[in-house]
Amino acid sequence: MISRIATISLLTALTATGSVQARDAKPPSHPSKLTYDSLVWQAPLGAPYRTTLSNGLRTYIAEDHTLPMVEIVGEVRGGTIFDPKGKEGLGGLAVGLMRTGGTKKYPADSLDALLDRLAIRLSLGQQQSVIEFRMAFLSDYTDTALGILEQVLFHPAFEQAKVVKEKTLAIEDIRHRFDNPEPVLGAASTKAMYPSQANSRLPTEKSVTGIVRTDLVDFHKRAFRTANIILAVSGDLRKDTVASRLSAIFPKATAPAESLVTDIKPRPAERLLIVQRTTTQAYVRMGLPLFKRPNPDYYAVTVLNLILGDGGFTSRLTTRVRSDEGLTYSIHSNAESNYAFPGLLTITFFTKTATTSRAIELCLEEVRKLLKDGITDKELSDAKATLIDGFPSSFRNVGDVVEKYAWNEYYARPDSIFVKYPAEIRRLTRDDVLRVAKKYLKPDSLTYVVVGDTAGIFAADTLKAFSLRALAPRKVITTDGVVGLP
Amino acid sequence: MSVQGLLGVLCLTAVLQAAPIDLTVHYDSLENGLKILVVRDTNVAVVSCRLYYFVGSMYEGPGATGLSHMYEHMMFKGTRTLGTTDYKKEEPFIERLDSLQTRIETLREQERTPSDSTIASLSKQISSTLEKQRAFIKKDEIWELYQNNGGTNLNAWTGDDMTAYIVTLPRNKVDLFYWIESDRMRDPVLREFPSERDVVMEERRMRYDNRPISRYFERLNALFYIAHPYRNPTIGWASDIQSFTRARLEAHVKQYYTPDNALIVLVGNIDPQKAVRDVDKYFSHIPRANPPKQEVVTREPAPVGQTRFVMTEDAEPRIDMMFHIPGYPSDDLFKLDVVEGILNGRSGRLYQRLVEKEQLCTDAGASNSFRLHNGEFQVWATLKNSSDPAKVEKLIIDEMAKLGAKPPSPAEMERNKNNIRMGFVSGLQSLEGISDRLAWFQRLDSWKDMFLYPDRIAAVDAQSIPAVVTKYLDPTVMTIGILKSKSPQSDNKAAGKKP
Repeated sequence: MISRIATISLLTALTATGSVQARDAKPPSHPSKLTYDSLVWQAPLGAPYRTTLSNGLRTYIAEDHTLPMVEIVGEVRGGTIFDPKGKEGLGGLAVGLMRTGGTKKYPADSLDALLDRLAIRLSLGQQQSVIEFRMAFLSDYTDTALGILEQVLFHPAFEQAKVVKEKTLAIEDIRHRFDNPEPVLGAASTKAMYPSQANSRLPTEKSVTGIVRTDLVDFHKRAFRTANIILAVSGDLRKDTVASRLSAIFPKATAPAESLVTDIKPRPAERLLIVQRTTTQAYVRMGLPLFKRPNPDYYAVTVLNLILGDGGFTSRLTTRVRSDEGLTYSIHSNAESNYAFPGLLTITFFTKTATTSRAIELCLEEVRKLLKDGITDKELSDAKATLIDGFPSSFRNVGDVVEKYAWNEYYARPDSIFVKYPAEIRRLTRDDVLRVAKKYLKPDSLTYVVVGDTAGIFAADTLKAFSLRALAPRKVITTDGVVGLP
Repeated sequence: MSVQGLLGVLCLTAVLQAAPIDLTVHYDSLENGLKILVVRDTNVAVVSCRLYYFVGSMYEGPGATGLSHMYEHMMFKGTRTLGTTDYKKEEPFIERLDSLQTRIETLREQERTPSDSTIASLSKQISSTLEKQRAFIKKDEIWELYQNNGGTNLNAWTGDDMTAYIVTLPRNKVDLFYWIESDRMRDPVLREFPSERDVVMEERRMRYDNRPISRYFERLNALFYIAHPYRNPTIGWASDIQSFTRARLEAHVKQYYTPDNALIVLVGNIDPQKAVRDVDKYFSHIPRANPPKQEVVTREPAPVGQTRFVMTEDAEPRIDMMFHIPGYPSDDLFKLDVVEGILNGRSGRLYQRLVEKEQLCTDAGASNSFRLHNGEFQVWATLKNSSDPAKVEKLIIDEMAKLGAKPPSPAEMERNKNNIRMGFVSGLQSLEGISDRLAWFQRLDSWKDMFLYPDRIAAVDAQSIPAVVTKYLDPTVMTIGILKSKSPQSDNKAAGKKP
């Protein structure tokens, strides 16, 4: 990052550095003829930053005095998939209230005022299979900030008035979560692919209303234990001072960390789920079951996905559906990297209502072409170059490094994963990619979820090669019906 | 042409209380007017490479709204060298497409509908000509070149008054940026125009037709600005997009996408002196705009009366109060930034009153937007479904009246100063963030202002706040938007119950 030269006291210094040298040789006639200096780069290791503190807290701590600020990221065992049935929304509400519901030392309003006054940014949130907290502050306030973190993580008060308020806000949020079509597509797709499973359950007004303060206290007690937490700390700090402070803040680890193991897996029941909505476009997701990581096919699937629809303008789906036909602004495929349960391979796009079936037909043509002919040498070498040469951009500073390794350890990935990544990609062959395409990319097994105007979509569903209407079993619901799906 | 012969090096120290932060910015310009800013950071393996053109939707008149955004799409279509296997063979098809499109436009001007049989026939001919042209097209070669050379953050964006083409490259591959961007600046070819116009229409449908909140803001903005072209949506009005022709876009490009209207910002592991030499090598032969760029002369007249816009949608209810403020630079803008800080945040006046005390809203805040010509100050609140917008409106006006009557407290001023400092420091964390900030201040006036900003805020006296609030945040001349939820009583929707 930008060098900070603390000793310079001049406000400005303007220096002429002389005229520019004679112009270098003319540029080549085409950028493919450019030659480049070699760039030796290896992914940084996490081990130099890794310490288990005396209290058992796993930390990655890195000093970086470039800017006068400190960042802390914590990964905590948990996630929405662990919300108890009937109490959906519990984890999100609990971690939100840890921030907004006051602490033993700071009543809620005074904590808000203190954080705002010192410009300390603190947030806690829950994703599908992890709880994450983030804190950033000016290094002048390190001592105060760490004191606040201790209070928030280990002494939340869950003030009753704030519990009532935050539940009200959560319910307001639920009322408007489907105002736009994209979240409807996301929720309906998960319901279609994982019916009646923990990852597809949605918070409802009823489930949030039913959450009481003791639920929040119990949740906090279970989740916020030292053994459940991995911490990444970076910035303008002294490593030994921070380590010593963290040793005092976090209680001694006793019981082992919670397990991330679940029995969730894709079990789609319908071939077609339509969510009726009066829109000018249809929002479409086509999904297939994939695997849970670690999985030896992952890197080959990554390359397959890049070529199919994740490589921006150069991917096959974008070229065909967007660039050639002008049927969409955005189309992409996604191969989920999921460590908690088997993920999905999906294709997602939106298009005007009348071209829904046509766009799906084009996607299927591309999928079948790929299965028949495989990928080309050029596509393979391009994909490798994209993944390998773009990799250094993921590690800009030591903050990136410690955060990535903390996340890595959270999902029990090997320490060597980043260092080995280029070689894992480099060794792939066209046959490897074709093999995983045949294994996972099964057009006849796709589950289709469409959000849009059913009548308009079906009116234009008159193609020979593909018929949306012919898919069975199918279900048509309204937006209000999404939450009621199993 | 040659570079000006002087590589300026400005080491600026933003004195932010205890710890000064020094940022060395190297700047230069070519004789053709192209400006260059370079910030070196040897700790990274990459360079953020960004080319900004000082053009955007404010340079588009009636019938032409969205042209700059359309060109954002078309810039990826290539040049006479890139994106084609043989431009000479491809060119006749482009000319044929132009001729067909002109005939359609003539018919449209005669108010025939697209279902008109002649138009339908011409559209078919366009499709078949495009297919023939594609035999000579190398699809998305620019994207492919960047991507295959480790380019990340590859994209482009368009705003009111600035457009940017952005990529972050490994530090040894910056020549690729110079090559591609100089070629795109000198020699763009607007190929596959009809299909890309359809893509833009799909983008517009997605952004506006099917997102109620975007529709609301598009209309509200058009009501707020009555004269200045800031009133136009950057993506353009649908009817304008549908009537674009390649010739029209080409004229727009020749006028605005020239070196004298551009800025290159390079931030990362790069030698500034070599960077300037390389920019000179690749860009110095590209001529300035001829005739020179036409600046926008329209300014917003002084506001008169209150404008009220009410819309009912399937959306979270909200209120937006918009006030006209000066363009950049004006000392009052910095005072208004302090006002924004006092109103914002969980301990800010709006949240405390509307969310905590009265419990009518789910969130509230303010935003002070610096703009080149006429800025806007916006105060907003999102309401609970059951809340009365009229009551919330009164409470907001009451809070602003308090701020107009009495200076903010020392604690509020300290909070504001810390937040400005934190925002400044955290903004320096990303190479791309530094680049955008430098470009943004250069667009407004000078990139050096980026460094003066914290001090300008620190210099604001609390005693000056009431006067600036009274002067600008006057409810009698505001534009107010009220978005009502279509079915505020259907709370059971959330539970999946029948209402």
